[in-house]
Amino acid sequence: MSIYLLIALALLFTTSGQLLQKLATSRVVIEAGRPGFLAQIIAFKETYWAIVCLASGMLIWLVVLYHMEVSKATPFLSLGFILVTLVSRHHLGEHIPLSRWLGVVLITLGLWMVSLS
Amino acid sequence: MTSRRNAYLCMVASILLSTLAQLCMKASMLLIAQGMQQGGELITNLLEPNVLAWLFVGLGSYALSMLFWLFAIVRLELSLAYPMLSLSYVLVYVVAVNWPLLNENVSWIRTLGILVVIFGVILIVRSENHSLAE
Repeated sequence: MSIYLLIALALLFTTSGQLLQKLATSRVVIEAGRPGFLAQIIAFKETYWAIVCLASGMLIWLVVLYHMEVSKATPFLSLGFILVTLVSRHHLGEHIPLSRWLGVVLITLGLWMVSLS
Repeated sequence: MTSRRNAYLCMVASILLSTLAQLCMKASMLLIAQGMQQGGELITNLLEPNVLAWLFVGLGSYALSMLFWLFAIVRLELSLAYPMLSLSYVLVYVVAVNWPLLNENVSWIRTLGILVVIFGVILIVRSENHSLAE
């Protein structure tokens, strides 16, 4: 299997995991008479799928690191910041101001520079 | 407003704890590698008390950082909170180049990259103030 396919899968799983985590926390209702935050969150199926996705993403990432130098692999990982922003916009309906997009691009660029040794 | 400030405090806690986690796990792996270079078995090196201590603190702070992360994203937009996690890379870099055990190399391009990331995070945080003002 191509290493780039594995990188794409790792990014896909990690991004989905973050989305599912956010969906789980947004179902929590804090009011008198309800169970506490953690008691509610462990009852949602989104939480379990989030754990499955994040764990799969991490495992696939370890396989990637086994075949590729960390400094070459890290820039791909920083693409996750762009993916999570896209998902926040399209699946969570968040408004992304231009300055936030600019911030995300700078973070991705900066992490790419840090990975150059 | 107070709950938003608490969410930001949770963000800070999550970032600091995940930095601590990465550094502790890296330190434990380095100690194992050093022990194996001196001819020790993997498993005996893994069970060294100081290796176990680093691992224990590393995994513990990783779990705590995920807990604080959940408390943070209850109140904050994902597109606002997630990019802030990149500050953890900045902190790891600063410690990694200054801590003799890790002894990573410094270069002007890496330091410039760190400044670019910090500038990016400042834009992200300010983008929230902007949307509140609207």
